[in-house]
Amino acid sequence: MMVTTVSTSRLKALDFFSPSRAVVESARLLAQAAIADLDRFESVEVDFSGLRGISSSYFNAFFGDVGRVLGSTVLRTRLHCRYETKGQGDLAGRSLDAVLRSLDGPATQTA
Amino acid sequence: MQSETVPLRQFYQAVGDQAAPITRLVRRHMEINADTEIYLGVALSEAAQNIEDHARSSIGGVWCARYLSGSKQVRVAVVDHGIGIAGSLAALSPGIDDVEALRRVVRGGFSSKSLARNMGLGVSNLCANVKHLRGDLAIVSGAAAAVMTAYADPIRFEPLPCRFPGTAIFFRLNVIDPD
Repeated sequence: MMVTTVSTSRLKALDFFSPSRAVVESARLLAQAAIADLDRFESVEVDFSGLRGISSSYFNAFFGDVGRVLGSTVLRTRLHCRYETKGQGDLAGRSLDAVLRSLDGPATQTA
Repeated sequence: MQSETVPLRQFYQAVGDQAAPITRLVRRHMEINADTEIYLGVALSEAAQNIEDHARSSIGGVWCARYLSGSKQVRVAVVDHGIGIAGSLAALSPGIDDVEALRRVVRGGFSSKSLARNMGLGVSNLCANVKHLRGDLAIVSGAAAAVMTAYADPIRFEPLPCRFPGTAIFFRLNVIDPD
């Protein structure tokens, strides 16, 4: 039986990141954890601080995997991200916009 | 401070700590904060990821970096021996020439979609991040070059008289003395 609680799960991206693993594989592991927690919690907050050496493909894979499984509405409303710097946030924001466009079509407006 | 080199390194995949030796080289010669370090890491990681995803390079990629004490610059080169940007985009845009292919990927939002997760952001992010670092950048692919200088807009796109067998990315950062 699924138990739904009004609560937030907090994940640290760094816990799913290995220096010796492909960057995209680390993103996929984080996405799996976020998907599992979105099934049990009202919202999931992911903290990306401390990550180095990641690219747009990291965020493409992370947002893409979550979006393909749970849909774009969940990406917009229940997944919350904390970034270490403005630059990291800008990088992730461009990926999120691109993923949302690919999920919903070009007319999508994103926050 | 003497000149210093990060030796040539070959890779086939964009891996987590790949850029660390180059980042450390830059950090030894420049005062950089977390934001700057992330911009630099992203630039390097985008270059490596593009090689993994699109280049089909038999040798993968190679990169190296050098701090030059005379000119007070850090210079980075990332090179592959693959099909080039136009070769990669040709699957979706048959007949596209090297200059137009470079122009499109630099602008962003245009991808060969070698993989489902490709969104066409890599090269445009690379350019944006080097620009943010106030660096100069040159990308050579096939018979075309894109040249970006720190304080000049726009990026120049030029045909080349000879053909480079793959894609090469060069950028240099000027070391700014703390005082």
